[in-house]
Amino acid sequence: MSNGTLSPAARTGDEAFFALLRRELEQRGQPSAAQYLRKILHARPVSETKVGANTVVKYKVAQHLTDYSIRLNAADGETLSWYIDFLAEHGDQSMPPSAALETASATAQPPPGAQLQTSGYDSASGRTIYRARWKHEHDGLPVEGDFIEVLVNARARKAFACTRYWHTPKPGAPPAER
Amino acid sequence: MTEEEAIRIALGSRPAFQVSDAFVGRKAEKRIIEVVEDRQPVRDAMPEPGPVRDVVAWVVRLWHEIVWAEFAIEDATGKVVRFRRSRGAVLQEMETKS
Repeated sequence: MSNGTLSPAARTGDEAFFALLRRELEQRGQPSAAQYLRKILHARPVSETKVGANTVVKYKVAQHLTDYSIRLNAADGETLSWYIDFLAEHGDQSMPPSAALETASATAQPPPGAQLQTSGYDSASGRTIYRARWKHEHDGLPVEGDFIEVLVNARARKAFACTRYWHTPKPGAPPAER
Repeated sequence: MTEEEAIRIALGSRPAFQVSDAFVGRKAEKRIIEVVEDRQPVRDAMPEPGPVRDVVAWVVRLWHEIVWAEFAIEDATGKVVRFRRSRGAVLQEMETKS
């Protein structure tokens, strides 16, 4: 089941659940908080069972944890970048640079022609991050504008951002949409 | 095309792009660049979105003090396929014209 195709019973249950929470907030003197309910919580129906004349719908309720941004190439759907906001915070330098680079490389999956340009710990907006960046060379020539960059939170031991502008150059080929 | 030839073409193209003779350079880098085919003359302006082709080009950056003007010259044809200048160079040109 997905939120986009709720059955009538699931939709009724979903609306009843959020109406309940809204009333709860009003009773606690926080009616203005109700407008944020659907931004913070999401009820996903996981099963629907007929019991006599009734329908029992079970939900899993999830809470918003972080913003996750993603940019896609409108021409071909390729992912250009992604960023997980909450993983960007509270980083440190606890990971050995070689291990952080391994994590970055696993995320970047550098294709043929990729050359590590820079790697190391850095500071951005007061946050400690590990940054690794690859440039692109094709037939021995730099490919302008192509790069892959990964940011790692060493404390969490996870990559939290990846930007990838990459293409296979075809000098001499006719112009094409990209 | 050699690096020296590319630099010569860039220097020879200065008048056509209103770049003064004070802008000079001695280096060029051969790269693969993307050129937007927007059917407009090459100029210092963001091209309209359009089909893109890969070009092997010599990128020549000419300097005058701290400002620059950059020509990308197609290796196969010797034509200028891209022209850009630094913001300082744009301001200088505006001051000259006013």
